[in-house]
Amino acid sequence: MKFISAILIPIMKVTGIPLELLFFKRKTYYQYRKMQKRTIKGGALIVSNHHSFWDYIMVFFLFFWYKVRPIVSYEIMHKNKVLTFFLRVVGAIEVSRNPLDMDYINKAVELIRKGKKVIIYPEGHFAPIGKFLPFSNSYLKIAQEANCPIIPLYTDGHYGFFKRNHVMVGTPVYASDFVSDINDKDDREQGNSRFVSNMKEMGEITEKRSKTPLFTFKMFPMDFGKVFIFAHIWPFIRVKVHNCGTRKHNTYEGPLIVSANHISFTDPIVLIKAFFYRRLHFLIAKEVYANKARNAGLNGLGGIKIDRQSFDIDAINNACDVLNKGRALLVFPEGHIIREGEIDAFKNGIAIMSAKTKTNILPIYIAKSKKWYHRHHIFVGDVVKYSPFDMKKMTSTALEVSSKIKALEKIAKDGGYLND
Amino acid sequence: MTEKEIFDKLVTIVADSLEDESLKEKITMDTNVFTDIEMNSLAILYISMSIENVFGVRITNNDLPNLVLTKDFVKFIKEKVA
Repeated sequence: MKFISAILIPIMKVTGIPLELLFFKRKTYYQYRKMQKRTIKGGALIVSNHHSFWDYIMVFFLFFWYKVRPIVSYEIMHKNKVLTFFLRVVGAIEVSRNPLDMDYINKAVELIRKGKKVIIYPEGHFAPIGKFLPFSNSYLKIAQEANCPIIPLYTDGHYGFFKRNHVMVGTPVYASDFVSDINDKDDREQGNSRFVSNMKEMGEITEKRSKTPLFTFKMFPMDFGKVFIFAHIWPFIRVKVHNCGTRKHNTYEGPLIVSANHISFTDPIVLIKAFFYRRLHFLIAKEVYANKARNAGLNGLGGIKIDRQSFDIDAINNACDVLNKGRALLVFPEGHIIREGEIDAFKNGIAIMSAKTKTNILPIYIAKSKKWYHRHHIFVGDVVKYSPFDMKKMTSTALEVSSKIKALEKIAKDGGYLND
Repeated sequence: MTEKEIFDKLVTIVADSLEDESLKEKITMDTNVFTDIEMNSLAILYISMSIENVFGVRITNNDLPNLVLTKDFVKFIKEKVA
């Protein structure tokens, strides 16, 4: 079988490319793009959600240069002769539905230790599109025993000639990140539920990203305006980004709230330049919308009008819509410009938007420069994770963002960047 | 969904947002949401977002002036849900 497999798999992969291009039309996302590649060194366990038989065929092409061995049930393995032959060729590991059968775990561990790649679908059955079934925690045991990375894989299950499949490859994790004692049932269950919530988060991000095409007519004014304006002012707006967190500012994809202190009218321009690689919407005070031409310009550039004097629920709803579409939103939570002195108290609206749309907040400190045409130094911290939609958590989220920005201010001060 | 069910859910949302369990007994259909209960802008925002989450009904700036009493909210939600 090894010889047949060595010949057939490359043939199937090469001849299947047209099928892949027409049937899957796969769009692959990465949880942390700068850190990830589709190359896997050594053995690994891929853990994926499961919607249909096509899930494995998609993986077959996704990890094009590898033979990924699926763990499949006895019923599927022996469904018909063609399927049995195909699964044997790809090196499938058979598992019976008997909960006492641990043989497949030993086989998987053995293969992974030899540097092979194994994929497991812990749901065990096909889940309806957009939903998850309970995960069996055996994948944690396999990963722990084989001491290998787990690669989470999310697929939206949209396969077909007139559909597009969206897939997210997660950041590799280890079983020890989720469980401390693999033999403790409760610990294992807790670790499993944490992993599942990570998968669900990946699903939500994938769904939001899939709604953000590279080009849309609706976004054309924003993209064109950005390029047109920056073509003229690019040399004058000089920005230096200091990444003080664990990730670079340009590695964030999907919905994101960019939260910064507000020292000048040029702040949005500075931040648009720093985040030039993506569409950055921003909340603008109603007063700035002075005439029709400016209205059209600001709306086209991604501005969202907010009335600071009254209770403007529409602005918050519009901002949430932007985030739900997978875009980034720039917010100045102080609500007004503070040219000198300490950072003001943050409004809690930012926490509500974050919790409602399940979006993380990226804290940024903009250091004041003497003249607008001097180099602008911006300091980027680590994201503040969104809190559950719970009133008690709202104030604490806003405070956390505020304290992170103040910490960045201290870094700027210590580095001598203030009043550069 | 009946008015009673909407009212019960609404009262729970308001009590949770203000972290005051006693409101569950105090709030009636004729309670003025803005004057009888002390609410800050965060609470109003949270309540409107929660209404969207629970009932799938979005409140806009145009709707707000007509929503004063609890029964106004109940009527509004009932009309939108139907």
